[in-house]
Amino acid sequence: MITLSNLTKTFGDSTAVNAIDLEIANGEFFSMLGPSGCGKTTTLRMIAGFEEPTSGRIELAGEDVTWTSPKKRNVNMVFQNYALFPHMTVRENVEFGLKIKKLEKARATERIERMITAVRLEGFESRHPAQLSGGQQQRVALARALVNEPAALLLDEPLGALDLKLRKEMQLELKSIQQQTGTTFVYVTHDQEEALTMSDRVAVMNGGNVEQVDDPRSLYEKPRSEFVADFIGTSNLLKVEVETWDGDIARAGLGDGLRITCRESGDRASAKTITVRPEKINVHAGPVDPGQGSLVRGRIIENVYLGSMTQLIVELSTGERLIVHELNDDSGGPSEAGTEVYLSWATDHSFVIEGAAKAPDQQAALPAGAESL
Amino acid sequence: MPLSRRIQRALPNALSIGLTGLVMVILFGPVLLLALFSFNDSTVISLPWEGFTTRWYSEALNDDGAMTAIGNSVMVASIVTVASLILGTLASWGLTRIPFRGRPLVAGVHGSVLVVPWLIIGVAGLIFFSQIEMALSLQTIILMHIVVTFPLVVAVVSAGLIRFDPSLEEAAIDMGASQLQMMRYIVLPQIAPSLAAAAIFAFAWSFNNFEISFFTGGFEQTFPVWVYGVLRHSSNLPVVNAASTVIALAQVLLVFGLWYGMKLMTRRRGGSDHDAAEMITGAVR
Ligand SMILES: Nc1ncnc2c1ncn2[C@@H]1O[C@H](COP(=O)(O)OP(=O)(O)OP(=O)(O)O)[C@@H](O)[C@H]1O
Ligand SMILES: [Mg+2]
Repeated sequence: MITLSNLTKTFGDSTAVNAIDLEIANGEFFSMLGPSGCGKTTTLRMIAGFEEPTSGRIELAGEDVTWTSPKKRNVNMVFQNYALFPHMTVRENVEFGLKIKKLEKARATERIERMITAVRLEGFESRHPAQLSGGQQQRVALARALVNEPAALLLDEPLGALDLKLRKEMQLELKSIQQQTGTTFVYVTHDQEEALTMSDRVAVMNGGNVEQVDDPRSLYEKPRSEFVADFIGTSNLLKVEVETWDGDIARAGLGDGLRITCRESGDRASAKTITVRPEKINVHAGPVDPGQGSLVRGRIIENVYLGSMTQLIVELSTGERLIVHELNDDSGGPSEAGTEVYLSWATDHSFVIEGAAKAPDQQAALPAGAESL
Repeated sequence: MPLSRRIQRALPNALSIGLTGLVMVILFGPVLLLALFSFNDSTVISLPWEGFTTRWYSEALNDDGAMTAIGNSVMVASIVTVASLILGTLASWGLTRIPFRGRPLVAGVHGSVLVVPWLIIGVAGLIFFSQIEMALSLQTIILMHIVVTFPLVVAVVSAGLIRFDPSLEEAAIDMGASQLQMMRYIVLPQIAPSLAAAAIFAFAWSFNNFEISFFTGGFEQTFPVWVYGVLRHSSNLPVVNAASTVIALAQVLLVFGLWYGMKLMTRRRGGSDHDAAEMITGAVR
C-alpha cells in the first residue's frame, strides 16, 4: 500500500504539488490524471524517490520512506522515454536489476524468461533497443521493471510516444499484465479515456491539487467539482441558486413550473453550479411532467449530425447554453434549429458541485499550476 | 533529357567531387610528397628522382637521437593522455551533473585555455618553473602538456555527457544500482566513444606539441624538439623525413583503427555508421 500524506513540493516559489493525500491499495490500477503541468510527474518522482518532498510523508507498505534513497525503495519506474540502456541487448536490459541484486543464476534466468514471455518478446532477446519498434521498446521497459517484482510499478505516460492504434493495443496489454502479476500500478496520464478505461481508481489533479479520487464511473457520473466535470467527458454547467434542500436533494424553481433538482455532490455551502451530462437530457416538444426531475425551456440554436447521435445546442432564457446528445433512433423529440423545446432529466443525473467561485482563490495560491494551465 | 538539364543535374556532383579533391590535395599533398621523397636516394628534397632507397629508414632506425626522442614522446604522450583523461572526466562530471555556484564561470575558464597560443603557454610555463626553481625535464613537459590537454578532454567528454540522457542514470539507480555501479555499467559504456576521441586527441596534441615542449623541456628531447634541433643541418633532412613519415603513418593507423573498432561496436548495438563518424567529428565540434 502507498500512502501519501500532506505531500508538498515547491520549486523555488512555485508549488508543483500542494499538500496532497492519497491512499493506493495493493494490486490496484491507480491513475493520476490531469492537464499538463498539474504535478503528476512530480508526485510520481517523489514516490520513486527521485524528488525530495518539501514537506509531507510517503509510506510504502506502512514504512516511512520519505527520505529513503530510490534504490532502497521496493518500487520501479517506467520512464516516459523508456530510458532503455542502448548498449545492452533486450535480455541484458531485463537482466540488469537482478544482476545488481546478485540474484542466484538459475532463479534469475527463470524470472527473466518468464518476464520476456509475459511481454511477448521471445525471439528479440539479443536485439539492441535501437533495433526495436516503439511498442517493443515499451514492452522491454515494462519487463525490465517488472522482473524486479516491485511492490508497485510507477508509469509516467508510458504510452505517450505511441500512435493511437498501438496505444489502444498496449492499453489492453498493460491491463492484462497488471492483472496477471497483481502488481500495484500507479499510472500517470493526461488522456482521460485511457485513465477511465484502464483504472480501478483515478485521481484527477489540477494545479498541484487532487480534485477528486474515485472509480471511473463515479468520476463521470458524479463529478465533485467544476474542473472534474469539465475535464472528464463533455459536461453542462449551469449556475443555480439553490432554494431548498431536501435531504441531499437540492431544488431551485425557475417559475412557470420549470425547476431544477439535483443531488449533492460537493461542498453544500459553496454550491452554485450544477452539472448534467449531454446524453442524460431528454428533449420534448411541449411541457411534460418531469416527476422528481428537472424541467427547463429553451430554443435549439444548433444541430450537428454525429452519426450515431445528434448534438443539439439549446439556449435557455438565461442565455446559458446546454449541449444535448440525442441518439438517432427515431425516438427522440424535435431537433430542428429554431424550435422551442423543453428539456428534462432525472434528479440522479445532475449534481450540485463546487462552484466557479472557488477557482480564482486556487489560482492565486498556486502560481505554478495556474500558469501552466 | 535536354543537355542543359543534364549538366544542371551533374554540376553539383562534379563540383563537390572537384572541391573534395582540392581539399585533399591541400591537406595531404605536402605530407605525401615528403613521404615520397623519403624514398629518394638524395640528401636534397627535390627533383630529379635519384632512385629508390630505404637507406634513410635504416639510418633513422639506427639513430640513437631519433629513437630516444620518439621514446620520450611516446612516454610523455601516454602519461599526459591517462592523466588528462582521468582529471578531465571527473571535471566533466562535475560541470555537467553537479550544480554549484559559479559553474558557468568555471566552464568558461576551461574553454578559454583552449584558445591561448601554445607559445604563450610554453613561455609562461618556463617562467613559472624558474620562479619555483623546478629543474626543466620531461616531468615539467608533462605538467604543461596536461594544462592544454585537460581542457580539451573536458570539452569532448562534457559534450558526450550532455548528449547522454540522465534518465538512464535514474533508471539504473531505480533498479538498485549504486553510484559506482551506475557509472561502471551505464555511464562509461555510453560515453566510451567520447573518451576514445578525447584520448586520441590528447595523445596527438601532446605527441605533436613543439612550442610547450621546447620551452619547458630540459636535456631530454621530445620528437618535435629533436626534429627542430637536427634540421639545422640540411644533411639530416632525409632521416627526419623518414622518421616523420613513420610517425605520421603510425598516428593515422591508430586513429583509423580506433574508428573502425567503434564502428564495429555501434553496428553491433544496432546503431548506424553515422554514430561512428560522430564519435570522431564530435570530438572537434
Ligand atoms: N525541476 C523543476 N524545476 C522547476 N520547476 C519544475 C521542475 N519540475 C517540474 N516543475 C514545475 O512543476 C509543475 C509540475 O510539473 P510536472 O512535471 O509534475 O507536471 P506534469 O503534470 O507531469 O505535466 P505533463 O503532463 O506536462 O508531464 C510545473 O509547473 C513545472 O513547471
Ligand atoms: Mg509529466
